[in-house]
Amino acid sequence: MLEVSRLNVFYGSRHIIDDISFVVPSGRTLAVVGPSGVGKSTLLHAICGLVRITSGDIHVDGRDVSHLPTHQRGIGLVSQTGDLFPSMTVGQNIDFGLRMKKMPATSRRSRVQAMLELVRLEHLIDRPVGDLSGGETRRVALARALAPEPRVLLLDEPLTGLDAETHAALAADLVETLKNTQITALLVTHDLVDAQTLAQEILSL
Amino acid sequence: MEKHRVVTRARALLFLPVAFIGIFFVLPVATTIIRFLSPSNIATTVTDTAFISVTWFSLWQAVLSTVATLLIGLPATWAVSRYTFRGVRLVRGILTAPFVLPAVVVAAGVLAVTNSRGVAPIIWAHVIFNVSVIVRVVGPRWSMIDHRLENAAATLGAAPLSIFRRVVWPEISQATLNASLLVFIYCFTSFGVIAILGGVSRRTMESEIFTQAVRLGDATTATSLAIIQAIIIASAAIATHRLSRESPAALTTRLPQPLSSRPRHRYVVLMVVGAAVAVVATPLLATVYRSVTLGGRLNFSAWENVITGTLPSLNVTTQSLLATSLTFAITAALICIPLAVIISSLAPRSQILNIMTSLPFAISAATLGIGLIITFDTHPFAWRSERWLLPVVHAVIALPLVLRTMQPAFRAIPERLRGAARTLGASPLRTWWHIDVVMTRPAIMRATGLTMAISLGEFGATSFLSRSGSTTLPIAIAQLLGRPGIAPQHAGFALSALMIIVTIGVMSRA
Repeated sequence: MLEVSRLNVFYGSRHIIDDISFVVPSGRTLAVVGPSGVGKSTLLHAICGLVRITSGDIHVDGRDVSHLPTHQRGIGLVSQTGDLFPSMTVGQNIDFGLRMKKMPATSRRSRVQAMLELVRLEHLIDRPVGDLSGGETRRVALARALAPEPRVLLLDEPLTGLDAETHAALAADLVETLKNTQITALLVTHDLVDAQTLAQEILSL
Repeated sequence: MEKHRVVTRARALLFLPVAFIGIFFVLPVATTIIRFLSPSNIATTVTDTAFISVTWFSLWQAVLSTVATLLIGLPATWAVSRYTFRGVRLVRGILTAPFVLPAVVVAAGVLAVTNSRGVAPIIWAHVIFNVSVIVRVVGPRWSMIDHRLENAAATLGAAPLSIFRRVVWPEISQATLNASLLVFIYCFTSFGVIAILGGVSRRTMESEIFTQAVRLGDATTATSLAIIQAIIIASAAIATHRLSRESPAALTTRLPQPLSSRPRHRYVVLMVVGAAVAVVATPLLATVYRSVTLGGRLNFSAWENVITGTLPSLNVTTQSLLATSLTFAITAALICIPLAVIISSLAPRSQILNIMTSLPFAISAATLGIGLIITFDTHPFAWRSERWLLPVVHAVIALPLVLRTMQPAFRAIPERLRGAARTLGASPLRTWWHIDVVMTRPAIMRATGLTMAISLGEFGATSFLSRSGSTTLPIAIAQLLGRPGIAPQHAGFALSALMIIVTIGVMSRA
């Protein structure tokens, strides 16, 4: 469960996040919708610790993570651009979070395989990430974020900028993946239809 | 047909740089090797304990200097290439300026602080110079890494050190390796720094080559040492090449983040920047301080001497030193820049010219110096005492660096612009002028400043060729600081301070 209470973020004198509170129950997905520039991405960055919060609390499964460094929060993030590591292959990208958890090599291998099967890209395990299409990049980023089993998954505009066919296919895959993994997820989008497709609850900023 | 003829005629101009490098670099070095290469002497040299100790010292001090430079330079590079904060431009300027300062001036600065000679001052002087190599070579690559990759790694559970090791290092390792090789070569062939801070007991191979060739007149041993030195440099280059891995994916430049957005990093950034600036700037400020004090009290007698022109124990005036150095610098630029423009615009991707113009990187200034005094010693090429030979040699030494400053600007001009100029009626010559030259003017100006700065500070080859009447500022500084007594030392610091002002003046105008 993700609980955000009275969250405020200032950039200098600019008030970016203004006293936001919400709860995402375990295994559910909440979509935050709003126009560009309203602070949706900043909200995600504040929750995972990439942006320092000015005030408020963030609890994950009852634990206060508000002031923990990002790598200790157990919150995964899938960004709009995927942000895959260019010096690594697809498999190495997915393996990255498992290495950070110091998982044994054999378990890591099977986990990478399982994640690639989940996003139906098992044939791309050794492919350099520079060769991937837009849709493949998003799928690999999703698999990479899910691999270390985060307690909460944050999705930043997961379907933006894709062609219609890829958009529809990835939306269907995301719904299935979120359902199968039963992960607590928070997604931000400017598209109300995407929000309705992917989430059980919607919060408007 | 007409266009083809014009291009062929223009290409004929490439003969000029080829002939220039051939006559003033390849010929002297080859002549030395052919005339004095003696396998038996090389065998004697490599087994001579005195030379072994000189080689060993050259090697370990270069390795230590490279490691020290990386320890100071890499964190500072991270700070100035990843973040913007108030004063970042000034910090970048302070860290990169010493690269164009004469070695003897930097060494004089360290001497002004430590008041002693030896290994630690030598390494400090090498660090001051070479931090700029790390900032200039690694900085651009580091600034291309997207912050979002580091953020992604953090959300996947990576601690800051893991993020550096697994995400940042693979992207900057190649640039760091290349920069380390350059730093190692500069330190291994150090001459000006050793001349001032080495004292009587510390000599590098480069300074030993000078001693053997000029002081003892033993060109055979000097040549053997030069060959051994070149083999060590080539081995280091090959080892670096072996360690190189395939270039990571092409990245695009990212804007540095405001430091205010990363408050946790603020203290670390301030600490590493503060440490690097202190290491680099303290000796330069100390030079100025030592030039205006004597026995801890304000004393402008050295400046009075410098301004009135009467330098103690030197039979040359400040005015003539300045006139000689500036004349050489301007002449070197007038030779080097047209040659670099010819190569950059007519053969920007020629492998042969690339190799030819890289040679002065691999062959040290002292080796070139011996070659010049040997080759240009007999009629009709008895040029070794000619004044004009010095700016010519400075141009040879500056050309590789100048080319590497200029070529990216020429390569960046889209071919379609030249086509557009031609379709608008511009002749090939006018297209070249209005597109190639005018568009690259900032790079040409920077290259001019760089050539002049290199010429002003050149010490290695100049030591071999300098005669009375062609004494340059760095040679005079080394002579003053090498003489006993307070007055020459004081004047040496004043002249060093003057040189800092002249060099920074030349570079800031470029």
